[in-house]
Amino acid sequence: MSSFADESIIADFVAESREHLSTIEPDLLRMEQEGAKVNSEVINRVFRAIHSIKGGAGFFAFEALKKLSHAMEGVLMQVRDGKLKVAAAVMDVVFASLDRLKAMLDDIEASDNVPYAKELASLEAILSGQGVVIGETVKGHEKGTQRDFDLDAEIVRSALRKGMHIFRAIAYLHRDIRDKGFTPLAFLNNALSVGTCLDAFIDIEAIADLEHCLEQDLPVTLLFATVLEPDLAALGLKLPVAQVKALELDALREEVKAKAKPKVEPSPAPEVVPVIVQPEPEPEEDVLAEVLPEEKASREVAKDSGNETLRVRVDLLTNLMNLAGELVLGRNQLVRAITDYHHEIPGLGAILQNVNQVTTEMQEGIMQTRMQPIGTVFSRFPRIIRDMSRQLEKQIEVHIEGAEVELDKSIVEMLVDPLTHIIRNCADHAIESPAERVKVKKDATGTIHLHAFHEGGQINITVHDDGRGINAKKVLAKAVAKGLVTKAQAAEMTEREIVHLVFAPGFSMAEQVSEISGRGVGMDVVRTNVEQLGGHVEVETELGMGTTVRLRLPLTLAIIPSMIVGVSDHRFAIPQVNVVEFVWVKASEVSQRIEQVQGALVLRLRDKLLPLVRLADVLGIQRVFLDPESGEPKVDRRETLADRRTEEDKALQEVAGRGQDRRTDWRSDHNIIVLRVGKNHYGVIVDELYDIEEIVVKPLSGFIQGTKCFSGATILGDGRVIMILDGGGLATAANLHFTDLQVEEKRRAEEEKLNAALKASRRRSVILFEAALGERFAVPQDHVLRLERILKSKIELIGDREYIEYRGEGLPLVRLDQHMQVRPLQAELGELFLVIPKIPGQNSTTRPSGGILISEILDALDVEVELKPVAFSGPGLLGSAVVQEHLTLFLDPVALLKAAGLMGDVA
Amino acid sequence: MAAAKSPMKTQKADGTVRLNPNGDLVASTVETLRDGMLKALDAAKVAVVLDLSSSKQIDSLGITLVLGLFKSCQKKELAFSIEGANADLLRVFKLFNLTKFFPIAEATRE
Repeated sequence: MSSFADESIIADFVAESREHLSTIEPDLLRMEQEGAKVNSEVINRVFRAIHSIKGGAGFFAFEALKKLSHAMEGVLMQVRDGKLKVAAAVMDVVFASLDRLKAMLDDIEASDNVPYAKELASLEAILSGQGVVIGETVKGHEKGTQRDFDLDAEIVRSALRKGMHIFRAIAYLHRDIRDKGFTPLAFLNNALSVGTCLDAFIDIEAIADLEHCLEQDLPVTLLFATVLEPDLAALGLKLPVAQVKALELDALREEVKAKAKPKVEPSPAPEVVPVIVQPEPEPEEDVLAEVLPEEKASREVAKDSGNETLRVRVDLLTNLMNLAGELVLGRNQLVRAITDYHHEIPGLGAILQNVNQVTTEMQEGIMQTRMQPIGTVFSRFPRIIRDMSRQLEKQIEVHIEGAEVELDKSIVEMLVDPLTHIIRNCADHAIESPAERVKVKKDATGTIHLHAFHEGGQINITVHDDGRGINAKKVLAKAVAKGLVTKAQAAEMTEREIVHLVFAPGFSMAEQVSEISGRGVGMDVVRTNVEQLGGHVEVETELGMGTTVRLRLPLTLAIIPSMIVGVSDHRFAIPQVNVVEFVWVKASEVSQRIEQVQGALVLRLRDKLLPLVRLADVLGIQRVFLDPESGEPKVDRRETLADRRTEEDKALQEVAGRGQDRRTDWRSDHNIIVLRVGKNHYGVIVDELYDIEEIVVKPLSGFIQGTKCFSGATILGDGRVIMILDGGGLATAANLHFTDLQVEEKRRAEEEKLNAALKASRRRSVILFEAALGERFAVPQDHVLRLERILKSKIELIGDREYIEYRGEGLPLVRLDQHMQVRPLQAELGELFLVIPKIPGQNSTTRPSGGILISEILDALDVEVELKPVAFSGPGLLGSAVVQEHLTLFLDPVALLKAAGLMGDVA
Repeated sequence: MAAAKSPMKTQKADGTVRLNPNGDLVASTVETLRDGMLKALDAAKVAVVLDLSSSKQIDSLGITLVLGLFKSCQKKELAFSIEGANADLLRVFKLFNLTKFFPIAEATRE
């Protein structure tokens, strides 16, 4: 490394190079996907990035970095110039080399120790295979001061399109190469690091014969293209400025412009274009002006963006962030301390308001500087998936959505590992092989969808795959086999709990430990890292359809708005992102709203059961209550909030004159904060709700870092140090079983459904009638087709069955007393009624099967009755109930006809 | 010492002279090599082959020597070619575009 190289300059170079590399990877993937159709600007971006790295590496004398980037540049140049196809094998080498560059940048001082010989050899093999010989089509010669060259026109056009200057440089073998301590190879390599060599030429006519040649200082003419200005190019080539001249390119530019629209493809038989050297170099503006408009525009954009960004060290930002935190604390304390003097000092209110606002804006601004798009993490996955797809012989596509969503830098960095594990799991375990996918009628190409979005003040990241899903049975069997759960525990686990076993330390579904996965640490890392960030992770899966891993994360870890709550004389902060709502339960409503389910307190909230924890109990704080009579705080010895007394108990208590019960006193009202933990909610009962404050999160001391319930500490405006509660940890410490409640909720829902169904079954629309006098019957209206009035005289007896002529046909009649123990119809009645049953499956035009003879139709009404069995039995007798204060027998008329043998032709 | 005594092997057959320098073509060796080449050139009737299989490096004077040898061959109407050039040498020759003047063959590897 050069002795003058300042460490900070090297650090800048490394940071810049890393940025370059991060942009290269997606571009390389695009090159591979789009092949020859890829936009030339994509290749140019990659080329420029590698070129910049090489330049810096050369300047700081990082040899390995320089050599490797140089070779990469050579390959990319050939791709750019259309001499090399973007084959997968070529890209493999380029990607592998890229990884080496990354490794070198990771420890720049030891970059020369990173092994890269294999990659370099591969790159050089590509180069030599395609031929790095430049200007093979040259067939011109120098003529006096005006030298003519015949160049590969396409190469020149390509250089011009990229906004390069084209120079002619003369290097004398002795004074410019040997005397400066270079070997010809070193000189040429250096020249290639400055630009693209278009041609090299030695005037063979000028060479003396063998006898006198050694006394001669032969000139070598190089034609090369570079983005450098003439003076810098001379400096880069280590040649006197006078020996480096810009070429007259007007004719070529015109041609390039003319041909710019139809894309110029590399021609198998390159044409040649004459180029003339002019004594004076062209002004740079002219050169730029002649460059293609889009190239110029991109340069201008680059210039503009250069003015708008500034590289700042992260530690500086972190320090600023800490100071902003202290400022916020100071502001809070200041506001608290001088609030009482508002009226005494004129204008104080306005000053405070101003300080308050400026502090908030500054803190937000500083936080903004640390925000990074999640895309910086997401962007690495297409490459990982590309490599894994090849390794696993699978076809996998990655779709990214919401890459622009921003998170604090520290969170983004901590997400790298968890997301990488998830993605690798998706590719390795979830996505099936193409053959397997086709077999189950899926597209041969599997998809992994990464999506980041804001929701409820948090960042949600979902990773969805359309793979085989998680087989809960297999997970459970594996977990039992590994001793992660006992058989007894396994028997009680819900499917969701089973699936979440994938997060257990040491759990792995892989039969063998492979390069990719199988060690059983991946998903554990996911959960641990995400929880360390104050986030939450959960999995949803559908067998055969796919799996979604959902991460919920806070936007930032440093300054967060929080709810300050109190228990006894302690105060705690609850991050607002975890707070769903506040619920105030009056003491008098406790018995209706709070109950116990399997020994746990629950609040009935909008038809859902919300598990409750008492913060004091979880943290081991002595509970107190305000005595309704004395108003003094007293120790609360009640084990449960749920009021299990019966009304009689309460009445007895009142009679006994025990005074006002604190259970109904307003001072015993309950403040419940509903917290969100992943998809689950639970309520925390606190004594007091104070204010929402912006708190500065201070890390916990090592002594209490293992405490589940706290995620940090903070200092309040009044100088009090309080703990920040961790919603997830609190639920764990309280041993909350959300699934038990879900089961209970489900049971209750089913019970309610059943009750509703039962109620519905009791509700009937019936037709009330009498057969014999005083004997009442009811038939469901939907079982009746028609009711008809008939004259008894019209009834005819054929055999032992009665008939009546009905719509031109004989309708068989049924008397109830012939089938059940009821009285016969009164003989004196001249007019009777017929109940013609509706047979299921028959329409109104179908000939009726028969009619039931009755004496009187009483009513048609809706009744809600519970049928009771009757003492005697009979066909179609459903039961009895009291309707309109009369015992009524409920009949199924269809069953009755069937019993009478009148349904022979009905299925 | 052995190199000083015999800086270049010379083989002659069928009018072709094969010159095989015993080391690099650099400032310290070019003078001796030139003398050897001048002598050998007289025997050449058809072609001169410069075998660089024993040379690893070449400097500016080495290139000048090669070009001088080529120029002399041209004058005598002798075919000139280079054989056995290693990758570095080949790269230099190619980058200087010498391949269009005379054939250059790469060293064969095992």
